[in-house]
Amino acid sequence: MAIVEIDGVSFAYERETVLENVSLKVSKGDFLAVLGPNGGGKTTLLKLILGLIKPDEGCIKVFGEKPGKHSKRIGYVPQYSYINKNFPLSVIESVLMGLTKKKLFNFKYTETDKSRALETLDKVDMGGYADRQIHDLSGGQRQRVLLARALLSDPDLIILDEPTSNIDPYGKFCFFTFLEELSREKTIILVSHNINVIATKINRVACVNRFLYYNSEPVLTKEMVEILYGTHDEHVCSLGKYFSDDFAHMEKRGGIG
Amino acid sequence: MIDLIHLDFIRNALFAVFLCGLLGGIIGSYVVVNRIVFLAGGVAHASFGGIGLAYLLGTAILPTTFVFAVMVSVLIGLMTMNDSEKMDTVIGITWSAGMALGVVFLELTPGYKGNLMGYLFGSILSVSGSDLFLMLFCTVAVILIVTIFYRNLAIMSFDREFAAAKGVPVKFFHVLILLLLGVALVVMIRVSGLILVIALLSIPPAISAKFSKSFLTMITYSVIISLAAGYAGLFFSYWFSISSGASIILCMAFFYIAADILNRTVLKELA
Repeated sequence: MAIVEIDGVSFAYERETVLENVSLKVSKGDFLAVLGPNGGGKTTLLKLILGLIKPDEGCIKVFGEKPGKHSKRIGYVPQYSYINKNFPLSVIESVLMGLTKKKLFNFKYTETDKSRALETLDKVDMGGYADRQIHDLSGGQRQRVLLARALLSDPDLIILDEPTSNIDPYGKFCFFTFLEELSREKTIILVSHNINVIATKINRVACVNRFLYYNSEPVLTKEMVEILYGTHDEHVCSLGKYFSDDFAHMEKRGGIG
Repeated sequence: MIDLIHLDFIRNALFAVFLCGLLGGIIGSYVVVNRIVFLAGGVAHASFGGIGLAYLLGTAILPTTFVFAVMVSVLIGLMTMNDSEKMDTVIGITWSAGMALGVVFLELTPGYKGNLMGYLFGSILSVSGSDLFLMLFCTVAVILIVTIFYRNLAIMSFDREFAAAKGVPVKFFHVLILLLLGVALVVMIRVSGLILVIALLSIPPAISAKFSKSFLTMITYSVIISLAAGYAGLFFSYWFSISSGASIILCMAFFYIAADILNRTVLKELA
């Protein structure tokens, strides 16, 4: 079953085209890494899937419907840098934000909600930090809290934006092992500019840099490397060409006799 | 001094400080966490245009300013809804254009413009019964809206991207926060004047943020600090015969410095 279907999508901010004729299909159980350089359109692709922006051309379906219809079934882990560092909030409260009820006049969370939030915190090995301020945690710990927040609504699809930018290198909690276990039950889309992600247990890979290339094997193809690093024609790039140009230039000026 | 309570204008002043502390503490908390203090200053100064308009048309000043300030804040909200990077410039333009409009309106108005200083720097002793009624209405409306949408406003203030992904209508709430700000400013202009009003919005929440572990406690402490500084300021203004708005703000500034020192010394050792 297709969880996300993107068909011939183009998107431009003002006049600058960010994504051009992009197609992608994410099926149930996929653990997809979306790689690409900064500014290549990865975040734009995520925003399109989340329904925050609309494509200029093409069609996107998430769980078979327009994006944004099934926001409850998606667990989104944004980059920590998006978060307002001025907002005083305990770890447990930030996890509870993962529950969106349409109820108004809603100050207090129920005991069931709280115990579920605590359980979810335990899963990401942050159980002892429930009453701490989220801003007092290390980058890696915060990342796990944000992951717990996304997991609280028991989503079918988990979307992570640059989770590798904040990982405790010596922590006993291994983020990728956790994601690997998670990927047995959930569909995961992980966005990163870090090519190292390819070495983890992902099973699909896509590279985005205006265009999108997809591989159902977790291996980078030649096209992917090209859009990640650019194409370099051997003739243009080789030293010989530069040298011969220089020689020709100098000859014209009569520098070489 | 107790006898003073029997005077109407003193009772109005005490009540105005109460409403102002309540609103300033609540809306100020949103202003401080969302880092829109400068924007609040912009709307406050732009509402000088509303005061000018009221003089020109001969209408009641506070209601006219109310309508004007709400329009300005919604306008800023709509202009920055899709691109908050532009905020800075938009504020600069509305701040100065609104004041310029006020100057022109006042110049076009013939005759003596009494009490104008009161709107610039506050004159709490001249709050009338009808002013108070409008202030009460605004306070109740703002508290009601903030209570109804409490959780949405909190998620939106903490993590806008996540809120949007969860289906919270973030653009609507962006404009709503600014609208509430506009309403709150009008209530507070009577106390501190439009030039000093950002102090009432920013100082109490800035103090309470140092000691708060959740947003709800931040709001609660802000209200308490606003009220304490408000009444202390009013007392000093009576005692030394000085301007009440300035006196309240100086009390707040003193509280801020005291809290900062306390936070750096005593609490640091305890932690």
